[in-house]
Amino acid sequence: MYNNLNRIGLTLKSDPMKPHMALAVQRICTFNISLNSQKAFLKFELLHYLPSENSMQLTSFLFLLFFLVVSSIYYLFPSKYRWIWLLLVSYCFYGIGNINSVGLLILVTVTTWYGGNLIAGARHNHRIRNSSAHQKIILAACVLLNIGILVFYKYSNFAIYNLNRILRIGQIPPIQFTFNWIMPIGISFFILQALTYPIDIYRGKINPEKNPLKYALFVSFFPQILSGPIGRAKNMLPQISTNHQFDFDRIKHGMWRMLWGFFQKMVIGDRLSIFIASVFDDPVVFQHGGIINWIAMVFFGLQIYYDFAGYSNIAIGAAQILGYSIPVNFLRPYFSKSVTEFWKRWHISLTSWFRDYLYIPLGGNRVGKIRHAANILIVFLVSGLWHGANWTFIIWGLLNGFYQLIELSLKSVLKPIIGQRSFQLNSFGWKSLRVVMVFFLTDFAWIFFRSNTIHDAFGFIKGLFYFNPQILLDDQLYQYGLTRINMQILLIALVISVTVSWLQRSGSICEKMDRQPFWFRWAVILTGIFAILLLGIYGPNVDTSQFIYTKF
Amino acid sequence: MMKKIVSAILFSVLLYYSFQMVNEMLFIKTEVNAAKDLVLEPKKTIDVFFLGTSHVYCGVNPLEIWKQSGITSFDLVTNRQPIWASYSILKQSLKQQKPAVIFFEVLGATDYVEGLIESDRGNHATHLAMDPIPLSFSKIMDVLRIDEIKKKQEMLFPVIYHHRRLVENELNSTDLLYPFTRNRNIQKGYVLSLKTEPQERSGPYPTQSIPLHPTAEKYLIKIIELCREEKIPLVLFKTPAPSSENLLMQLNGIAELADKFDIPWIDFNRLVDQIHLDYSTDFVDGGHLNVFGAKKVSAYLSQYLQEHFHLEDRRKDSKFSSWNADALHYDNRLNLQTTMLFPEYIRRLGDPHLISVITFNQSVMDHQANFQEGIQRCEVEPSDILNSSNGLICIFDAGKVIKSTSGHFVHYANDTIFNIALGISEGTKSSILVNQKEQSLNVDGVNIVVYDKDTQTILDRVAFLPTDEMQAVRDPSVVTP
Repeated sequence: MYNNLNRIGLTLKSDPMKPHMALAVQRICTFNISLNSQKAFLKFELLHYLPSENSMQLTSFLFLLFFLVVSSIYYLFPSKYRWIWLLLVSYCFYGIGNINSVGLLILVTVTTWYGGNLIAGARHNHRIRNSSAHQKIILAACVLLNIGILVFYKYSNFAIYNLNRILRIGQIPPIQFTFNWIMPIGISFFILQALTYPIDIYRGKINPEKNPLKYALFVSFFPQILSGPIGRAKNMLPQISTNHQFDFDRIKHGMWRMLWGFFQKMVIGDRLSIFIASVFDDPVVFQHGGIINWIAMVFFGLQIYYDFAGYSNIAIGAAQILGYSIPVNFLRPYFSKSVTEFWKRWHISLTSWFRDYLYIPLGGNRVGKIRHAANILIVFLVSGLWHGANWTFIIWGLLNGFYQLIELSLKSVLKPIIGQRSFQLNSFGWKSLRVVMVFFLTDFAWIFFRSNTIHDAFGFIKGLFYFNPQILLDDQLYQYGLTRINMQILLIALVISVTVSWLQRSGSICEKMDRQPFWFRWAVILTGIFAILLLGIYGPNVDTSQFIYTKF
Repeated sequence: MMKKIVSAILFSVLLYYSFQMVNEMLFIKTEVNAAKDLVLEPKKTIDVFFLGTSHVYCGVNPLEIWKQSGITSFDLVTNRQPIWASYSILKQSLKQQKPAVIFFEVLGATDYVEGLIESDRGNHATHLAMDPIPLSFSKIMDVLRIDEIKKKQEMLFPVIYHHRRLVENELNSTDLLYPFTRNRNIQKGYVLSLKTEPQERSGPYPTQSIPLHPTAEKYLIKIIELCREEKIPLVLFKTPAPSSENLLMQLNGIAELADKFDIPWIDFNRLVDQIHLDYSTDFVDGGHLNVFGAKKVSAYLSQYLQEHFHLEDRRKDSKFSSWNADALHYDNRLNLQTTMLFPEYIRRLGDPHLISVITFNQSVMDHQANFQEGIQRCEVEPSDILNSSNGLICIFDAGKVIKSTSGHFVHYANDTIFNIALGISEGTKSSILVNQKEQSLNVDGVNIVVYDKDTQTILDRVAFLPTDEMQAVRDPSVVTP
C-alpha cells in the first residue's frame, strides 16, 4: 500500500492555475556546540540534516523538534520579554523554505499597522476637517493594497487563463504570458488576519498598537501563520502584551489538544486520502465507480474535516502551550441540522471573518429579500474564490450559497406546518434526518472542491449513478489503496472520533480527563501517542503529510 | 505543583521506555543484530572484534577460535553492513567492551560501498546495522554527523521507518517479545552454513592497484583514527572469495593504505594454499564461506592472534565457563545438522536448547526394525503407529517427550515465542507449523523440525525416508511431496 502512495500521492490539483507551494529547506542557521572533550567542536548543522520536503509541516519531525526547543526557551525568558522570542522564532518558522516571502509578510505587516495607526491618528486629529472621510480613504487604500497583493499573487494567472478563453472565442490571439512564481505560503490567512486591525480600528473596536514589533508578532504568530485559524487583532493583541506565566495545566491541555490533532490528521485524514486520491484522480475509476464514488464522496467530506480540524487543533494546542488562546475553528460541523448551521460550525475563523467584514458591510439580512440572497451568494462566491483560483472552487462556493437560499425559502414555505405533530423538527427522527441530509449535501458540494476540473466533477457525479452494489460483497473495496486492515483501523478511529465529539457536547474533554485517575489519563495518552506512531500514515514513500489548507 | 512536576517526569520516563520498546519491536531482526548481541555479553569480556559484512559472519567463527586458543572474540556484523555503520557500531561497542585487537574485513571499503550510497538498499542495510543500537547522545551525534545517512530522524527513531510493519502484518511473536528477551548470541555473531557450492579460484593477482572509493577511504581512516584514539591495534583483513581482477586491484589499494598507516593486512586470497582452502567444498556461494571454510580461516586467525598479540587463554577461567557451554552447544548444533542416521539424530535431540517435532507416517512400520530405537526414544508404541490412520506426532522439549499422540492436530506452545500447530492427515502427509509457517518437508516417512530456543530460529528440517538405508534428507527439492 505504502508504495502506492507515491503514485497516488495527495497532490490536490494538478491544474496550472493552482500554484503549488514548494518548501525547500535553506541552511539558515548553523550552531557550533562546544564540547569539553578533545573533540572540541561538533558542527551541528541542524537544518542541513532534515528533509527538504514538507519540513515545516505541523506534523513533521522538524516542527516537533522546533516547537520543543522554542517552547522550552520561551519559558526561560522573563515573562515581559517572551513576545520578543516568539517574534524571532515566528519569522524563522516562516522563513524556513519561504525566505523569499518574508519581505511580503513585512510589507503586509507594515501597511496594515501603519494604515491602522493613521486611521486612529486621523480620528483624534482635530485639525483634519473631514476626519471620517479621511479615515475611510486610508482604510480603503489599506484594504485595496492588501487584497490587491492577495489577488495579484493568487488570481493573476487565473485571470489571464480566462481572458485567453474569451479571446479564443473572438479569435483574438491569446496573451502569451503567465506569472511564474510560487504563491507565498499562508498569504490567504495572514492578509485576512492583518486586515482585522485597520478595519477594527476604523470601527472603533480596538485601540492602536503602538509597538510595531508586537503587531508584527500578531501577523506572524507561527502556530497560525500557515493555515490559521485566522485571528483577530481584538483577541490577539491584548494577549501579546500579557505576561504569560508557566501554567502546568494549560500546557498539559495544549499537549493533549495537539495529540488529538495529530491523531485526526495522521491516523484518519491521511488514511482517507489514500482511498480518495485513487478514486478522484483516476477517471477510469470514477466514471464507473458507483458505490466506490459514494464512498469516496463521503470519505472526502471526512478527510477535509479531519485534515483541517487536525491542523487547527495542533495550532490551537501549540498556542495554548505558549499561553495564547485561539478560538476553536470547528464545532462538530457534521452534526449540523441545517446548512446555515453547518457554516456557523465549519472553519469558524474564516466564515466569521466573511460575516463580519463582508456580509454585514454588504447589508447582511437587514435588506430586501433579493439583496439578502445576493449577499449570501456574494459571500459564498468570495469564499469559493478564496479557496483557490479555479472554477471548481467557485461552483463549490455558489452551490453552498444556493443550499442556504433553498433552505431559507423552504423555511418560509414550510413555516405554517413546522411544529405540527408530524413536523416536530426537534424530534430525534427529524434531527437525525436533517443531520444526514446536511452531511450528504455538503459532501456532494465537496465533489467540486476535490475534483481537478469541472469536467472531472461531472464525470464523478455521473459515476455516482452507476449501479454496482455487488462490489460490497467481494474484496473490490480494498483495491483502492486501503487494505482490509486499514479499513478496520479507519472504522475504529472514526468511532473513537465520533465518541469524542459526543463527549464534547457536555463539556471540555480536558476537564473530563482531569477528573479521571492518573493511571487512566496516562493509559489514554500513551495509547494515543502509540496509535499515532504505529497507525499514522507517515514515513518513507508517504506523501500525504501536507495539509490541504496550506495550499490555499 | 511539585506533585505535578514529579508526575510529568514519571510519565516522560514511562513514555521514553515504552517508545524504546516499540522501536525494538519494530525493527527488522536477523540472525545477527551486532549491537544488541554484544550488549548481552558481560562487559569487558571480549578480546577481539571482527567487524564487517556477511563475509565475516560466514567466514570467522569465534567459537572455533575459542576452542583452539581460548581467546574470546565476537563478530560485530550485520548484513551488507555499510562502512559508515561499521564505524558507528565500533564506536558504540567500545563503550561496552575493551578489546585487545580489532579486525576489520575490508569488503565494505571496496567499491561495494558505491551501491549503498543514497540507495534504498544502503538505507535498509544501515537500518539493519544501526537500529539495534539503543538511543544515546553518542548515537544521535553519529547519525547527525554521518553524511551518508540522509534520513536522520528515521535512523534515530526506527519506528518512523518500520511502523508500517504492524499494519502490513509483518510482525511476529519474535518481534513482539524482542525487548523482553535476553538471549545471548551463543555463536558470537557467526552464522553457520552447511551448504556447499563449488567455486572457481580467482585469477593471478594483478600488480596494479586502484585507490579506494572516497567514502570508503573516509570511514576507513575514521576507523583507523578511532582505534588509535582508543589505543587498540587494528588489523585489516579480507576473507577468501572468488574475486574479479578489479576487486583484487582494489585490495592492492587497501594494502597500500594499510602500509601507509602501518596497519597489519591479511589477505586470505593470498593464503589459500597455506590454510588449505578447497574451492570445491568450502564455499556457500560466490562470496561466503561455509562451515568448513570458516573453520580454516578461524584456525589461521586463532594462531595469528596467539603469535602476534599473546592474548590470554581463558578456557580454564571459571568466569568464562559459559564460553565452554556455548562451544558445546555449537558442536551439538553442528553435529545435529550433519547427522545422517536416525537413531543418532534422535539421541542428539536431548540438547536442552532445542524443541523438536517428529511426525511418523504409517510407512515407517514397513521398516520397523530400522526405526526401532528412535521410536522407543519417542515413547511411542509401534502398534500405535500401525493402528493410527493419521500417523503419530511426538514433541521433544529439552530432551523430554512432552507429547506423543495420534491426534489429527496438536498444539504446543512452550512459550509465546514458539507456537506449533501441527496436523497429519491420511497417514502420508505431515504438516509442522512453527509460528504459523510450514516447516515440514512432508515426506512419507519421518519428518523432523528442530527449533532452537536460543536463537529462536529453525535449526534443522530433516526427513528420514522409510527405506533400509534410512537416508536423511534436508533439501526439500529432492523430496517428492
